[in-house]
Amino acid sequence: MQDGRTISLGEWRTRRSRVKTHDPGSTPLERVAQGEPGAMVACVDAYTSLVWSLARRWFGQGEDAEDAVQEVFVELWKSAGRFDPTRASDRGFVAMIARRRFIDRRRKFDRRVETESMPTGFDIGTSEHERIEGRVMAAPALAALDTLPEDRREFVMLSVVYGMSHQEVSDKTGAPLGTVKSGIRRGLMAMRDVLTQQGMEEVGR
Amino acid sequence: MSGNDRWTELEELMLRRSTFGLSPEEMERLEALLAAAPEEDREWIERLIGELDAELAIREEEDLALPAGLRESLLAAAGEAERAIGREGALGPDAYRRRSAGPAEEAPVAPAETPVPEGDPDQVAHVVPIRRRTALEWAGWAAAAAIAVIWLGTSAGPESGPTVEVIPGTDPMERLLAVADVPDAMRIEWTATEDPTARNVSGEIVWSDLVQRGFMRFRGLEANAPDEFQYQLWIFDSERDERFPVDGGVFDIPAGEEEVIVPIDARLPVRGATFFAVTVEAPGGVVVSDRSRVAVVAQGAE
Repeated sequence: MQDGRTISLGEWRTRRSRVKTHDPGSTPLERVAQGEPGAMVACVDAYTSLVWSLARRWFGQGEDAEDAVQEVFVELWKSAGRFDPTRASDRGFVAMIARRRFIDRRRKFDRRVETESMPTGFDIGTSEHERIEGRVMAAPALAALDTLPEDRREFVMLSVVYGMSHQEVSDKTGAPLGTVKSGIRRGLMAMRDVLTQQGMEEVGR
Repeated sequence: MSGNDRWTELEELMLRRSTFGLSPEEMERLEALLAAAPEEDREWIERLIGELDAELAIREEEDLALPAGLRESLLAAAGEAERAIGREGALGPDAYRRRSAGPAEEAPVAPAETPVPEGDPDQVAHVVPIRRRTALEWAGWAAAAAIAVIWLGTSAGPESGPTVEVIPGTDPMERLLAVADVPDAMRIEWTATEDPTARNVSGEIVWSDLVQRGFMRFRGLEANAPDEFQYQLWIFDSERDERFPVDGGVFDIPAGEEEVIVPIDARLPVRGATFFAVTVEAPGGVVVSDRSRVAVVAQGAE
């Protein structure tokens, strides 16, 4: 680490070399797509905690979140065939499907999407990195996020993760609206470039 | 509109879709732009945000307590869905064969159309490579009986379950294959008690926690008249209170069959099967067994 928060690309490459390799067809999602008996149960086993943690962010505790989780799994059964391990991690794909369902659900019920308010201390500090590292799991997107200049990283976190509008991000950070818009866009594109450079597809191998 | 403007608009819409959602009009516009965009770029923002969401969730998952019953209800729903799919033929031995086209096929597997002699255990054993696991094999009577005594000595009853389908060994290979190829499949020989129904019993139980499926094979278990008594399977789960075994179903043994294969239909998810017991119960089975008659038991992993 460079400053306790930022992880260099070199460190990430080293870390990623420790990431377990992926056997083609081995994730529960791929097994569902192949029609393998037991795969749906394995999917529930593998991703319930992830989906629940995401649902809580959108809906808080309670039946609404639980219903949303069930909807996500139904959608996963339908969408598993579209999972491409060369383009995304299985958890990333699950999170993508979950986010779509949550947005649809929110729009359906109240037409207004508001994710949970941003918690204080949302920065990914040293301890969080260590916890993630301790799991010996790939976190390339977070690493790519860390490569962004601080202002863009903040724009991306506030808008993408915490669901703030561009105007809200502008109000919170004091940055002009145009700067926020371009910062988010350029930030995401820079993250994509970092991931491409590192070989995002390796996550699935 | 220039290409650059179109690209900017596309990305903004993709981003909005991943954060706030889009109106029908915006969605229509996005789809039009996506149709003209290179395939590889169509979902990159959503994928990237998905990766971020997933990675950020790691820190939450460790300390997260799931709502009571959520995982169980999802597992039950998934298991039920798989059983429904399996009945329709979408999941079955063919799926397994497709998946296990590699080294896993360590033993010859007869084509589906190859007739298997009814009740011919040698033939079944030959064509079905059940993976034996030494830690789970053939518990001695003493150990099994000890557990049975412990179980019989407890007072609380299990949950009731369904009447399951009995398939006299006409197509044992299909069902055997479907479970035996699962990595965690366990196969345990029955241990008979002194109950009169089980004097000459042999056979085994095959079960997989992973796929929540299994079957029982019986030879010599006394045939029953369903209006007099029925058999009922109980599954002990290491992750449940042993006073509350999972009901594996009520079943009958038809007369005149040399071998009977009974599919297991556990009504609740079984996370770590350790012990199986077949009791003799009143017609229809029971909600709470008085545990007065145990026909056979099978000891799994300790």
